[in-house]
Amino acid sequence: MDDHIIDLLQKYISGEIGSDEFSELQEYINHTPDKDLIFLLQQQWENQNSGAPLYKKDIKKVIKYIKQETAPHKTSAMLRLKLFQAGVAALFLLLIGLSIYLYVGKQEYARLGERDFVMRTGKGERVSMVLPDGTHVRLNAESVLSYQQNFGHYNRCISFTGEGYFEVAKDIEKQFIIHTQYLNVKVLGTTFNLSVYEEDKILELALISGTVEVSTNHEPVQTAQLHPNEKALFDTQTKQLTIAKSFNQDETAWIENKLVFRSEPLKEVLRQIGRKYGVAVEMEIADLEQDRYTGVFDEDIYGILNILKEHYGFEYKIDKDTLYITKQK
Amino acid sequence: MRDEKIHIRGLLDDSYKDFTVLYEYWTPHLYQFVFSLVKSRSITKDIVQETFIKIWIKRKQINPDQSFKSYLFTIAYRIVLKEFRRQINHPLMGDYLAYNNEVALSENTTEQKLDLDEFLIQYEKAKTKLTPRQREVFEMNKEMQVSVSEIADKLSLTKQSVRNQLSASLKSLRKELVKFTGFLFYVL
Repeated sequence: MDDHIIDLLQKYISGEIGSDEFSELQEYINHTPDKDLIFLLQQQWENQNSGAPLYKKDIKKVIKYIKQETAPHKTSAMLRLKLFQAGVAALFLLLIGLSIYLYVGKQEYARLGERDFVMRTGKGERVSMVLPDGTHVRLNAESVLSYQQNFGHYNRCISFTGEGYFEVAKDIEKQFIIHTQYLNVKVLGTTFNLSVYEEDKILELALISGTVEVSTNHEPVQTAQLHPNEKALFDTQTKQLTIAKSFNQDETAWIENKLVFRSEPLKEVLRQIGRKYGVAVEMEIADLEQDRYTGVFDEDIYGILNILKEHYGFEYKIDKDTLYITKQK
Repeated sequence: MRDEKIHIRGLLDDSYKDFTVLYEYWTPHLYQFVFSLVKSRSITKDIVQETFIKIWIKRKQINPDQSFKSYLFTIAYRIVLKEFRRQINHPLMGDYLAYNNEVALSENTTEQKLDLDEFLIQYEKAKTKLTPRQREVFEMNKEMQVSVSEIADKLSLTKQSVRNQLSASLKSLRKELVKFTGFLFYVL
């Protein structure tokens, strides 16, 4: 593609092309295959920076038209009018009635397709569920999984936040895609643990079997392929996606009702306890919050708190749904 | 565009609000691009509308890793290229461009330029002022691209007489178009 043609095209675009130049451009366009022209046009499009200053009215009309044609749920006033007309024109009663019936039916059907299915777990709740494609998901506390009624038609898309253990049913033709706040996960059929609580700084996907593709959905886009016994970590502050070795015991301990901490700040330890047992945490010893703790718990909440109490020498009290941590008297 | 990724993800999740943000932002850009190629407001409107309606219908297929700008192009290019090829071969496109050029050169550029369709209407109007013979000669030469000597043969006129008819027609057309646009019109 030589610069001369680009120059001619730009002159044509700005409307400042001379007669001879126009004939030359016309000749070139008529003797060039689509694929080269597409490239030429794409260049122009990518380099164009402004919208049309002229034709504002046209643009408004276009926007209005797009709205009209795509806005979900048209007004029922139209429908009523049609019904009225049907009453007046008795001859067309049957025909119009039938078409309205079909139209409404289609609307209903379309609305059904738009409705989301949502599964939500509260503090301290765990839920196992099976998606329409046979995928098993165990949801940890305070997680939300949603998908649309047409899940599985073209692909298998869900939106997710929180933590979940996924055993994805195999379907080579339909990718299973998980959209989360920062990460997108694409798989065909695998087992993995995904932890993407919105308030967490580090988001984590630990793969147990199969392969998974993780990508960030903000610029700059980073993509990683995971193999078994690897995990992807995403830092929401530095926006870095990294891969680390994983033995999956820590990540999936929650399934066996265990809590595992590897050098986690006490603040984080308490938050996870709160999440698991459904209590709010009131920490009144600020200087302990950053102290790092390592350990595995499979006790109940009192068992865990007694161990921590011994270790740190604090007092605790559970009143209604709140856990208070205070200094020893 | 700010937060583009968020809106694309919203679109993937059927959020009509995010779709609205996207088409309200990108419609003027696409309009400008398409118009600059096809030079017709009505064709441009159709293409832009169809493109966004398609995007809404196929919203599940959008790739959130691609920029929305590139995605717009992949949806629109087939029809844009088809119309571009058609318009650039319009028999009066060259004359329209020359007219436009003249408008750009004149001092009074605040006035909105005619698009090709409006230009054609004015041109048809101007042609009604020609005598039947002038019009016949002019249309053969200009619109059907018959050469002067062939016209002379067909109409049993001398070549000189054909040339005279043509130049008289041009003079008359210019006068008419000037009346309408207020600009000197020298190309036809």
